[in-house]
Amino acid sequence: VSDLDPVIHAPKRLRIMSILNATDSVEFARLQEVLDLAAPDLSKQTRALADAGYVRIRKTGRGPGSATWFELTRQGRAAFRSYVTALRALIGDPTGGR
Amino acid sequence: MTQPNPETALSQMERDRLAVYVAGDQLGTPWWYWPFIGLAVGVNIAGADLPKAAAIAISLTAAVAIGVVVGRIVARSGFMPKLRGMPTPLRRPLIAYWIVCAVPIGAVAAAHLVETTVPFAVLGAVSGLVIALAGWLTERRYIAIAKRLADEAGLTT
Repeated sequence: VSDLDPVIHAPKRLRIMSILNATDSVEFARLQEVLDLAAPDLSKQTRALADAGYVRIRKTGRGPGSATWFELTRQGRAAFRSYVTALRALIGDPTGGR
Repeated sequence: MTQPNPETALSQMERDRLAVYVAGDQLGTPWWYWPFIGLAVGVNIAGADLPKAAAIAISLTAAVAIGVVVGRIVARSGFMPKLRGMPTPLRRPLIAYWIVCAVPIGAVAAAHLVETTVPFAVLGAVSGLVIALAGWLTERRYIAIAKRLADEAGLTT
């Protein structure tokens, strides 16, 4: 377990990475709804992923109509794939996963 | 923060992947969305009967209008779907939709290549109708499958 990427292995960040890996991009409110996280917590977790180079944060619009979108970077997708492969190896699943 | 054991983590990841596609109040599009898409595509095709400059102007206007509306719908749903990340049962009706739409679009392409007596106005009307109706039906099917998947996974819709 200690070999798993510590940035991704935190439960909340793992969930965020999992959702972003299944989509092209996700808006803040949608991510918050699915994860049922408080906004400051979600901001903190996505910031940590962005600092690691795994997530790109994009802001659209201005004022009340503004939105924040998240998407995985190429590095983030590769890191997530490696993480899932390592996780599956731990439980003896040879498929490697997605 | 408790670290998940591998089985729990994988199970939660699968649930979250599903949730983004099936949970929430924004699964469907507004009632006018599919009629609009059908109209825009139909007008675009019908424009081929007009002089070249007018046809190009109509084509550009339709493309921009579709782009703006689709952008608004994506913003409303809060996520940009990815076919590879989509649960398989949800992917199937979308693929079927593209196959259905390929028929009128193929007919339009063929009409450009060979001499035909069928006016583009007629091809545009038929294509627009097929695209709108099939789109609407596909969306109903998608929502029904999404609700079933959400129920099975115990996710709130």
